[in-house]
Formats: sequence, C-alpha cells, structure tokens
Amino acid sequence: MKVKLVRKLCTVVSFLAAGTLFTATVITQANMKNISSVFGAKTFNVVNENLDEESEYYKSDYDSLSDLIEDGHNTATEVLKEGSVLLKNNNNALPLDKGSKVSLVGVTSYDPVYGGTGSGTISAADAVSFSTSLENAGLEVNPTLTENYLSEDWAQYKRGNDENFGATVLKVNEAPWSVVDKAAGDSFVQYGDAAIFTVGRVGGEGYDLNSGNNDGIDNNDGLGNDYLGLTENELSVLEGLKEKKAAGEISKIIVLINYAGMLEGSFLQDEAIDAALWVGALGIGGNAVGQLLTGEASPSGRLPDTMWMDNAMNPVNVNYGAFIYDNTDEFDVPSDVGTGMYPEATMASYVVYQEGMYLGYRYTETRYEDLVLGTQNVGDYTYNDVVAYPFGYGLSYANFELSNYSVKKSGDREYTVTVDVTNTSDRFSGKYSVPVYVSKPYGEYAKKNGIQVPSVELVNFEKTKELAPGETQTMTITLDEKFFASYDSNDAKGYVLMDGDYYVTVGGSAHDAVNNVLAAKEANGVAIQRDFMVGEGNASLATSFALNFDKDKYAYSDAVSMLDGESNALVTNLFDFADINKYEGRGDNSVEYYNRDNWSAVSFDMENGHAVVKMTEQMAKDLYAQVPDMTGQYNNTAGVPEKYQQPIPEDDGKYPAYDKNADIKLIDMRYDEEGNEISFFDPKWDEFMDQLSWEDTTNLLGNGFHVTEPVESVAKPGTKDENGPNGFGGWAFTNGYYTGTGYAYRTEKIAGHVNEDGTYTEDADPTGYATMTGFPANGIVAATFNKELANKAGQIIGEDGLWAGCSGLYGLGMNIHRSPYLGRTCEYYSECGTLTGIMGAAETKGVESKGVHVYNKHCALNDQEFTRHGICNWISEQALREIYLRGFELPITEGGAFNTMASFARFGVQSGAACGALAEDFLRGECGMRGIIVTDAYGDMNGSQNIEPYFEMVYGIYYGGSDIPDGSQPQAEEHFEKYKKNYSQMAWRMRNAAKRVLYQTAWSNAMNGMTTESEIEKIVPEWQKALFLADKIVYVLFGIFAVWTVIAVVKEEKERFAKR
Amino acid sequence: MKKLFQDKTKGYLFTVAAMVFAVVTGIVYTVIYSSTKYYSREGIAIICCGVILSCVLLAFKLQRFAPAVMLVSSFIALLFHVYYIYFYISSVVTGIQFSGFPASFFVNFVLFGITLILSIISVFLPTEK
Repeated sequence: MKVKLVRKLCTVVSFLAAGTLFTATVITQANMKNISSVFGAKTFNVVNENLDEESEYYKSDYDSLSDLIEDGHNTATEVLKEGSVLLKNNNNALPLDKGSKVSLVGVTSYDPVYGGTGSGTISAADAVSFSTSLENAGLEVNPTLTENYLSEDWAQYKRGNDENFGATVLKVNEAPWSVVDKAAGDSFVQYGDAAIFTVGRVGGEGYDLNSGNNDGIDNNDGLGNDYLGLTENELSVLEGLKEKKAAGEISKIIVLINYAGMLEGSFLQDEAIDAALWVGALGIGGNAVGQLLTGEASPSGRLPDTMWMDNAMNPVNVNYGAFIYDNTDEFDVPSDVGTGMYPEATMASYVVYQEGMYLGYRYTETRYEDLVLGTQNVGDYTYNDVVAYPFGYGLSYANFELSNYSVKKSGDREYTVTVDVTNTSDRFSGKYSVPVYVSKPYGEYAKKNGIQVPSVELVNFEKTKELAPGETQTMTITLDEKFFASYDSNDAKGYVLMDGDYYVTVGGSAHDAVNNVLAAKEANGVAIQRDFMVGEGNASLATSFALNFDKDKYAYSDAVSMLDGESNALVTNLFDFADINKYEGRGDNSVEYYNRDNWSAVSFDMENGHAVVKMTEQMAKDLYAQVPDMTGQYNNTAGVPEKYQQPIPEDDGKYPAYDKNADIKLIDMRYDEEGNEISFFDPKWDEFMDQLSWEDTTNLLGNGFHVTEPVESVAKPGTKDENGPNGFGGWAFTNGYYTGTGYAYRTEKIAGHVNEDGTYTEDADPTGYATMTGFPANGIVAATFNKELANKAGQIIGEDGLWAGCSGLYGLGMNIHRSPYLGRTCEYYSECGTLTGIMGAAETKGVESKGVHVYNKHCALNDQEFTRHGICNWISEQALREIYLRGFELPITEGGAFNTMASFARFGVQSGAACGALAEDFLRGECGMRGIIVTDAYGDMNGSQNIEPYFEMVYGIYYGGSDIPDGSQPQAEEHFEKYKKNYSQMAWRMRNAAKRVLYQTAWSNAMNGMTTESEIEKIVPEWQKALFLADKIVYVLFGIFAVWTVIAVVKEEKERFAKR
Repeated sequence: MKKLFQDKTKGYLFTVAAMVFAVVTGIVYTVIYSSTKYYSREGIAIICCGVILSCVLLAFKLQRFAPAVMLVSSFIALLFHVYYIYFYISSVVTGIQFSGFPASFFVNFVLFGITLILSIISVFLPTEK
C-alpha cells in the first residue's frame, strides 16, 4: 500500500512539475530575448575585451559611481526647483519661515506622484516624500495628521483605481473633511502656520484621464465625472480648511498641485487660497519642494501648458479620443472593438485635429487678440472665463523688471534680442527666464491660402543666472528667422515669409506677449478695444519690422540629407495624405479646420461637436495595404479581403552579396587610416555589409525588444536600449548599474571584483546596485525654460547609460500635450511644439554626448493613449509641421538625435511605423537623422493584444518606415524568410535597415572596450541553462514514474481480470 | 440524488465534485474570456473531453480511471489558460497595464485551482469499495 502511495505521489508530482516546466519553457523560449533583456542577462560575450583607457571611446566625467548618483540627485532637485511654477502668492504668503509648523493635508501629501505609469514609471526607492522634503527644509509637520494618513485604518484613503478588465476607473479616494477634522483633533491649531493641501493625479502609458467615469464631479459640461477637477471630498477638505482659516486656527492655505499636467484651475481663483505651487511629477527631486516653500530658492518656472478654468472651454476636447467611421461595413473593414487590455477598433477609428494651429495658447491668445482688435466672428469669448493661467505664466518671490529692450537683425537670417533683467527685490535672489514671442502678419496671402497665424508664438528663450537683489543681467537671445516663416501647404507648398509687419516681444507669459503686441499695435495707430483687454501691455517690450514675401529663402532644409549625404532636401508637401481635405482617396469628405476668420464655428459640444469623416474605398485599400496577409490573428481569421490584397511584389533583381569575408569589424568602421570619420556613404560600408549572412540580417531586423542584436561575423556587440523618457530610473535595471557591461562593470572588473561567471564579489562597490536617476516630469523640465539645465539632465541620463552599459534610451518623449487628459503628460514637454523641440534638443544633446542614442518618441501624433493603436489622425500639414513634428525635428537638427521611435498612430491612413514620407523624406531627408527607427511595442500592433492587427515589420521596412521592431516576434516567427528569394527590392531595403542599425551602434558607447582584436560570442543565458537542466531532470523523472505507473496499472488490471 | 451517492466512496465523490467544478470553470472561463485574445479553445476542449470521458468511465463502472483523467485534463486546461494569458500578466506586472488584475482574473484561477486540487485529492482516494 505504501509503495502504491509513493508511486502515485511521485507520478502526480512529477507530472505537475513536468507540465509546469514544459509550459514555462515554451513561454520563455518564445520570449527569450525579451526576458534576457529585462533581467539584464548576457546573451553574448566580448572575447578579448580591452579594459584600457584608449578603448573608452565615450568617457565619463565622474571618477566614481557615487559622484554620479549624487550629481543625479542634485540635478533632479535643481530641475524641480527651477521648473515648479508659483501660480499665486497672495500677500506674500510664501515663503514660509523656517521652523514654521505646518499641517500637510490630502492623500497625495503622503503618497506623492513621482512619475507616470508604464514607461514613465519612476522608482520611488530614492524619491523624497513631501514630509521629508518639508522637514529637510526646516518645517515642522503635523505628526497627528501624518500618523493618521499613513495608518492602516486609512488604507481606503489612497489614490488608486478600480480594476476592471480593460477599463480602469481612476480614483482619488481623498479622505473627506469630516474624517480629517476628527482625526486631527486640535493639532491644526498647533500646526497652523500653514495648511498645505496637495492635490494629486496620475496618468501614464495606456491611460488617458478622460473616461468620464473616474473620480470627479459631473458638472454637465460634457466631460462626465471629471478627474481633472476637484472631487467632492477634495472640495470638502478645502471648505474645511477655509473654515479653520476663518476661525483663526490656521494662518494660510497653500495648494500643491502634484500632477504632470494641468488641473482645471477655477478652484485656485478662491481668494481663501493664499498660494499655489505646481510641482508636476517629482521624480527624485522632491527636496526642491521644501526649499521652494521656505524660500531657500525662488520659483522661476513658467507653465508649459495653458491651465484652463474648465477643460470644457478647451475646444480640442471635442475632437479628442477616437471616433468610428460609421460606414466601414460597406468596405469590409472590421470595426469590432478589441477586448482586454486595449479595447480599440484599430482599423476603423479616426480623429480630426480640427483645431489645426490653434492649440493651447495659440487658441486662447489669438481669439483674445481678435476680440480686442474688434475682428468679426469672434463669437462669445471671455478670456477670464477660459484661462486660469496662461502658457508661460509663473511668479517668483523676487521681482524683476525688463528694460533696454531691442531687436537687431544680425545676419542673413539672425535677429538678436537684448534686454536687461533687473531683480528689484530687496530680499530674494532668483532666476528669470525671458521667452521671446513673434507675432506674424495675418494678411491677404495667409487668408487666401488658408495659412493660420496665431497671435503670438514662442520662438526662443534664455534664462538668467541667479540674480541677487538689485543685480542686472543683460540677456542676449538669438532668433532664427526661419521661425517667422509659416508653412503654406496650398500655394507655395513650403515655408514662406509673408508680407507685413512682424512683432517680436519678450514675455512673461503668452498673454503678456500678446498684450505687449496689442500695446505696440495701438502705438502704431491700430484701433483696439481696451475694454476687452485683460491686463496691460507694454509697448516698449515689443518691436515691429516689416518683411517682404519670400518663398525661396527656406525652400530647402538646413540639414544635409541622410538619403544621399550631400544635398539639402527641398521642403515641400509630404503629408497631403494626412489632410482629409487633400488626401486623394477622400471621396466627399471635407473638414473645416479652425480658422481665425470664423471663431464662431468652434464647437464645444463634447458629444456631437466633433468633425465627422466617412470611410472610402481608397481608405480601405490603403489601410489593408499595411496589414499582413492572412495573419489569422484576432478577428482577422479570414485575412485581408481578396480585393484588397496587395502583397509585396516579387522581382528577379540582384540580391545584395552575403557571407563575403573582408575581415572588417564594426570597430573598423569608425575611422579610416588617416583618422577621419568614415561616412555612412563611404563605399567601405558596402564591403563591410557584404560580410553579413542572410541570417545575420534577419536576426538584426527581427528583434529589437529593448536591444539590438549582436552579430558575430562583424563583431557587433549587442546593445541595451531602455526606457525611459524621464531617465533610466524607472522599472528597468533592477540590478542597478551592474549589467555586465559599461563603466560600472569595467571598474569592478579592473579591480578584480567580477567572478568568472560574471557575478560580482562581495568587495564590489555596493552603490552599483543603486537605482538610476529618475527626473521630474518633462513638463517640469520644459517649465524651467533653462536649456543648460535640460542639457545637464541629458548628460546625467547619458552618464547613467554609460555606467550601466546602455547605449539607447527609449525617450525622450516629444509628443504634444494636445489635451490636458493625455495620460502621458509626464513623458512629454508641452502643448507648444517649439518649446518641446528646443528643450528636447538641449536634453537630447546631453544624452547623445555620452554615446547613448535617444529614440525620441513617439513619432508622431501619439497625443492620446486610450485609442492610439492604428487610429487615423487627420491633420493639416501646417499644424503637423509647426507643432507636432517640431518636437522631433529640432532634437535631430540641433541636438544630434540619432534615433526615433515610431508612433502607434496613423498619419491619415498611413501607419506611423510604415510611413515613408515621415521616415525617409522628413526624418532622414529634411532633418538628416542618422540612425534608426524602432516601432513602438510590436506586440500591440500585430494582434497580440487582442486588437485587430494593423502593422507588420516586413511592410514597415519595405515602405521605408521602420528598421527594427520593439519586439521579437518577426525573428521568432521568421517573418523575413519568405523574402530570401525573388524579392530583391525587399532584400535591399533590409540591407539598408541593417546598415543603419550597425552604423548607429558603431557610434555608440556599446563600442567601449572593442578593438580590432575583439570578437563577439553568443551564449545561452544562465537562466535558460538552468531551465533546460531542470527540464531534463523532471522529464526523465516523470518518464520513469509514468512507466512505473503504467506497469503497475497493467499488473493490477491483470490481477483484477484473473480474480473475475 | 442522495441515493445516488449514498454508497459511493470518497474518491468517487471527489471525482464527481471535480467534474462539477470543471464544468463550472469551463462556463465561467468562456463567459469571461471567449471574446478575447486570451481565450484558449484548446483548454476548453480538453477539459470538456476530460469531463465527458470521466462520465463515460463512471457509467461503465471504470471509475478508478476517472480521477486520473480529470487530473490530466484539468491540469492541461490550466496550462493552456496560462499560456494564452501570460502576455496579459506580463503587461500587468511590468506596469503597462495600469488597472492591475480584475476580480474575474482571480475567479478564473481559483476555479481552475479548485478543480485541479479536487482532481489531485481524488487520485489518492479509493474510488471503489
């Protein structure tokens, strides 16, 4: 009996173990690359790696890791210090005296928002909480409230979300005033120097904030339960604090806004609120909050977005999200909404960027200017009811005066703005940023050709040093006339300088700027309606000059094209297919983009006010062209309808050469014998590329999940390319800097602290396991208006990559804060493409300086999260170029950005990852981008995420869109094998993509340690070896026990039969 | 019904319980996941086959084999469920799926788990007197 029990036990246990291991092996085998990448497991070795200094092609500025980490913390703090925006400060309520006793109120006060979700995650390990920050700054924090907010009894009062498969309800879960008041007892009196109420919100990857079902109040404005307004409990807290203040129990009410984007600002108009500070998402720079509140530093940030009184006044929200073509059935296009993680209709959804150029301040200030100028058709518009705080707004403890303003033309296309900035405060030092805006003429040419001209647009800025009381600094700001040009997609089909008067002014805010322009116009004899003005303008801070019409001056790009390496690309219409009024297959569709001549047409009807587009047969054909044949994926089991099938054509052309041995390694492709850089177009590259085998090529192009693959034949090391947009201090690199390559590894290797198997000895520097720097939200970076500081942040990110052996950054985030409800505001900079581009360029330059290539993302139009997969974005070329692409263009042309990540979205019907006009003509042609384009998460595009598949890597490469997938499915599923014969065009495109991957690696820090003696050796990662060994043991055991059981059962059955 | 089970062994009863839970699991699983990418038709087919085969074995007085059939079918069905949903799980674990795991996710795994545990127990209990 005992034997039988043992047999059963052994058989069952081994069966369960074998089944579990089999499944684990199948799953991990399919995702081997991804898993190794996530856990930092080595998949290759460098043989003959050189640890000498001469093979450090990218050097660190730091002697030790602890120095870098400390500087990272300090820089993150500096960014938050300079980027936080003081919104109000009645009666100098701030700064607080050191030693003040304060009560910290609100759930977010004890659970700060450091970043976003997904790729914007910031590790909280090294983050500084609000209470710690305040205490570090010398404030005493109410311990009774702290104890209660952090107690288990208050666990329900914590920001979170109701979990629902595919639909998340975001919850603030603020503790109501009745609970707070009761718990606080009389502690408010003891800690009543100020009540600091923190209002927090969080969004991120995959999560917009506009579901209408979140925590929030529905005030019948069409936005539903509005997560970006205050909740009932938050309002109750505010009312409670006001009562306390009225009763004299607390002296001041200070509001901290701890959200990467903008809340609705109407509540801040309450006079009972003494001061408000927007701190964005903190990153690990939280110490800055206490320093700002106590006056150790003066706030100097400016808002990167418009803060609306009520987001229902922002017309963009009418056209935000996704709409379904209601006639898709006619064309056999599936409109089924995917289920599970992404409930989207990826083949049948669209949105029109109907606002065109009038996004954010470009709308609020232009309509305001037209109101003041008495223009017809302004409609019902009251500025103070619309704007709580304008773009560029920000107070300081110090006071600044601008004087001696002048603008001089200093070159063929350069203008030099000079202005004296004087700190007139007698107490506070501080910095002051000087934004420069241009006001272009809105004349006959613009009206005739449908060019939209916002009243003012940011063109450049600089920031002063720390100015002591009474100190003056003369600021010199250079403007490029190119920013005065507007894109004309109708007549000139290029950038034009229009006839008329241009005004250049220095803000403040965009509203200050337009007021200055209005004052200057009035001084020039233009009639204005002063009664409608909100604020005063200063004509002495605006200069006007006339320019003549010129369509030739900026007809060609400044950058040398990376399509031929020598020409400058003709700048002309590239995206007619993305404009529903120009797309050849538009049928009867047409849309009226917002027009300065007719503001009355702007709709605020959130339910029915959006622009409507119908599907046409050509749209269906174009959509299906990008879908893999007969994929058999979700809801596509029938594959592409026969009438729409457009497979890549076979041809009998000559293939590239493969497997030739020229004895050239990747390290040899950096410099020639004379020490000159080898150009991408040097014939030596052809000889070099001929060495690759077909398999090398398909491996390289088939897997890009946070890596580029190693290639043994040419000694190309694998690279690590990691998130994220706010630095490497997110969810990647769980082992800190110790990844097996990079400076941290080399330092320990030289010191003898690395074992044979690559593990580290106990003597290794423990700081190597530390988390890397996670910076505050990029909106905060933008709000600093400090290019040097952004560059410094970029350098820290680059150094982190250098020390961790990471040569690619999945960031920075260059999309636009199109709507306040965009989930990923923490990753992106601003509503303004120019601010995004300028700050992004500065930060990019810092990252790239350390041999870490940015993959600026998500190019482009990824301006929402909920319904971004495959959505058709219809947009005018002017808006596309001047707002949405500028954030990608300037980091390439000014910051040297090597790489870009494509968007999930479509330009019109053309997938962003398979858009030749974008990738080839714009990024490589006009901008001169040197590196590669990686898709966004590949699994989200090919049907893996329970949505209709809408993109395939093969098509992406063929159409010139992308080079590698952010995934490994094309490699694992051998998508490229079909093209081994009879597809020479495809093979050449693959060759070019592979060449770009190799080229960008050659000029990255992945080459540190590589010499002409070095070789690459692929290895099975340790975790996989262990799994395979466990498989063998368990399968053998299961086999033995199974045989034992079968024999025993047969024997039992025989005995049973014999008994009968 | 009481009469039907009154003279049955514990192994027999546990086997029947496992079969009942397998049916419930299959129904709940289908209701929750059938319209999603995460639904495993193979898993459902196997668990159905397991239940049907067990019924046949019980009907033909071959109940001694039914626990093994239920164990194999319920476990393989669970593995198929895991195989089809791991992508989603990885998204949640990495934070890309912000909502976390919904109650339905746990309900499914609990039902699969109960079915499997009942099957395992029945293997170790006598099914015949």
